[in-house]
Amino acid sequence: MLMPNENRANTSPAHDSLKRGYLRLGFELDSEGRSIMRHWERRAPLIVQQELYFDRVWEELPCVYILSSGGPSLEGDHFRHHITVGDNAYAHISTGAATKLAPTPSSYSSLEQTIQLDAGAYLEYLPEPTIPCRNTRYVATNEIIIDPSATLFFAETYLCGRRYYGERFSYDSLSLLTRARRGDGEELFCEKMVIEPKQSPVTVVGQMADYEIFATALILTPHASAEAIYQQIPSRIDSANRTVVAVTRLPNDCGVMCRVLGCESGDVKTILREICSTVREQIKQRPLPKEFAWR
Amino acid sequence: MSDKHLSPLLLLMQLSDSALPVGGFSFSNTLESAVEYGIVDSEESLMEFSKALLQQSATTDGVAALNAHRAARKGDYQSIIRCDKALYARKINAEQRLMSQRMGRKLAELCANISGSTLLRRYCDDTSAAHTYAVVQGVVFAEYGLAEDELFASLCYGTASMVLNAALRCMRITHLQTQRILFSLAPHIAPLYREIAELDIDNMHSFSLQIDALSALHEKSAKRLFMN
Repeated sequence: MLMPNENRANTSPAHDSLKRGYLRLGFELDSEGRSIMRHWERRAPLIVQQELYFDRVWEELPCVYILSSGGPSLEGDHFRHHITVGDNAYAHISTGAATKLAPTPSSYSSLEQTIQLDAGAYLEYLPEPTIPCRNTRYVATNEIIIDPSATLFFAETYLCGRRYYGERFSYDSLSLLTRARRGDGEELFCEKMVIEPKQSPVTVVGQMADYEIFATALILTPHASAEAIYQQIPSRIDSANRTVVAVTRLPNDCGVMCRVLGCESGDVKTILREICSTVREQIKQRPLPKEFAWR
Repeated sequence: MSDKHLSPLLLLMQLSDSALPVGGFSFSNTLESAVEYGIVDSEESLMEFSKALLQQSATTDGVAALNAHRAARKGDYQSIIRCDKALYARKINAEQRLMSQRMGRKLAELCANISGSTLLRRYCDDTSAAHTYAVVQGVVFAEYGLAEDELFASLCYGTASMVLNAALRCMRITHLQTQRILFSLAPHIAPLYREIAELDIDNMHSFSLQIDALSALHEKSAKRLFMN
């Protein structure tokens, strides 16, 4: 199922110029025990420069920003990320700016991510929000393969559209799948959201209500850390700032998930960074630094 | 009416009865939090909330139940277990998972004891199974010879009656109002069935973020009359 339009890829008028961005990033420990980006393969329009060590609180942490030189994701664009973090390695990945999803009148665009964490690995994946514009169809698939001793903080944020242009859930459809499993294939959890605001309004009780932004923070980590993190993150509804933070334990004892709802991207980002900081303090005994003023 | 028609009808009524001893009265399906935070405070908002729960239930539990029903009709035990594991892995919220498993185990034990079905007995005794409620319902209905649409109707009725019965205990609402809501929800069931009837287990999906958040909020809530 998902979306009937998935079969219409070849009818896209943009088919001839579509982009097939590919990114493979592999982090490992070097001979001195420092985490480095050992493997680094990229296909335009995706760009990743050499890893930088700019984290003021954790100077050994390799930080990478994923950029796209092609502007928004256009009809027929299909991007793939393959990220691996080897034994005991660690990394922080973000994006340079929000990802805009341009209208896809006849087809769709997609992102397929595979994230693999080996024993003792640690990855923070905290990209800027995704903005689905009017008449967009988009499919995102996140496949996570994680060792029981590794820790992954994985966040994603979706706005309701470009509010400046009056867009509020005026996209056609988002199909968002996130699935995690162990190396032996054991499925840990799976979540598939299909959002079709034109078929069925989402600004109703039980779905988005009067919130405009949703974000999910997945924290996959061993049991003891997951319990400590679960206890430290307060679930709350903040009526003044119109935000919701709700934390729950995931199936198969694989970690916890935080759902964040809000109306301003800055508020949601602040909450996600607080959660990420809680995770980092629990696992690596240091907080997330203050965000750069220009971000 | 002949026995041929009466017996399945009576079975359907028995399995759909809110008094079926599977523990449904202990759960509010997130309504308790919705009332606490003022999201549900009237007949109208309860109606909308119930519709959202039905939609969520149809696209997840409904899909799993129908697929389990088909597997059970074929005697395909491995496919039943696959449905069970898949639904469990998609129950992201801890208390929703707890509800599904507790009620599922109760229903499996109950029906394995009263029916004499070897398939149900095997499933009930399988300690590696998750025993999610919707999948157990699928197997039970198949073993009793009840049809897929009857299964789906019973599943939706169970979702609605659970939240409406909980409403009587946690908000200011009358029996008359909850029965009016139940009556008004009926026309929504057939379109939901058409929407999900052909979906396979990999295409279970949902988009009910406020319900998810309410479920998670309930976990740490100080006021807890219900288990979810």
